[in-house]
Amino acid sequence: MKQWFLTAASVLLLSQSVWADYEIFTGKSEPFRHRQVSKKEVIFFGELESYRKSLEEIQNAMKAHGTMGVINGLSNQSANLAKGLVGEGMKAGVTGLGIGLLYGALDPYIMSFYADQQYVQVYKIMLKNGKTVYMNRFFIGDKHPSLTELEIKSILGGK
Amino acid sequence: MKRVRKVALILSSGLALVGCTPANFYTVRTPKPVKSTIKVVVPKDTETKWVKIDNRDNFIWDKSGKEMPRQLAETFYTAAVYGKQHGYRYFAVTQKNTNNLSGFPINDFNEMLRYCKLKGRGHFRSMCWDYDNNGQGIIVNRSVYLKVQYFKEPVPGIFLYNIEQTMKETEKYF
Repeated sequence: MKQWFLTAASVLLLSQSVWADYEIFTGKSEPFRHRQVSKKEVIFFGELESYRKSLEEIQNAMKAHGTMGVINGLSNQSANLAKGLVGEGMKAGVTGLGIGLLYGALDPYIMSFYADQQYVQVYKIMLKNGKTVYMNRFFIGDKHPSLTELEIKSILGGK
Repeated sequence: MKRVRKVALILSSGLALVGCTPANFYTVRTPKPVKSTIKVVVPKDTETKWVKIDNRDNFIWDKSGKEMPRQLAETFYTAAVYGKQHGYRYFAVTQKNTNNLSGFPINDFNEMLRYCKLKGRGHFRSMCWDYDNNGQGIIVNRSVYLKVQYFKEPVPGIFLYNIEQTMKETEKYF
């Protein structure tokens, strides 16, 4: 009886991920085709609010230390993101805007109060023509039932 | 007598610890949390603009998602055309709930349309909609409002709408 109950409970738990309702959105910094990709690496994975916080942290570090010293003193998540951004893209941003990297008013999202799970995975992509572009996969999941971070990561990394 | 001894013991132990108390014990106050508000630096080659398409009669919204939300496409198209005419290549939607400059990752019209359609599905709260009527969403009372900031160059880490691509994607809806 006990064994039957445990089996039923584990099946129920496992099936949460099957029932979970979610959508994935894709964004690209520049349009490109899959066949143009030569290298792809994940430079950020985490909640949307963490992404905002990491950008804020990088921006503050840049104000304090400039582009070169930006990685010093950052949290692991932000340091990874900064490493991905420093380089061609960062230089383009700095020279393009003339006055250094600009992020706008980094408002916290109101949506964190609502019943959605929001995760973002950001990729740095090297194209065969040597150009660097960025791509994101944005996960929005219904919290009833919710998925674990590991499950979300595997869903986002699956394609 | 026993009670007097007890009180004396408590008082003396209290007095003994007085020396350990820092001199400014009563003057120390918890420091106020540092406000992490960042002053927004607007570079010379960007511009902020509100685009509003307010035509309630033409606002097509079908919960099944079969009808095309033409008004949303019109607003994005208007924003893109203005940007192109003024020599910009990118724009960011800057309403608080979907603010690209705060890291909101959707930067494609078709994807934004899909995001807006999440409303009413299960427990989803697509923040494309302005539930509280506080000007933070894109769709408010069946009208579409868009606050955009234009850029000539991409900004690393920030996903901006490409003006040419947005024009192509929105044109087919009207």
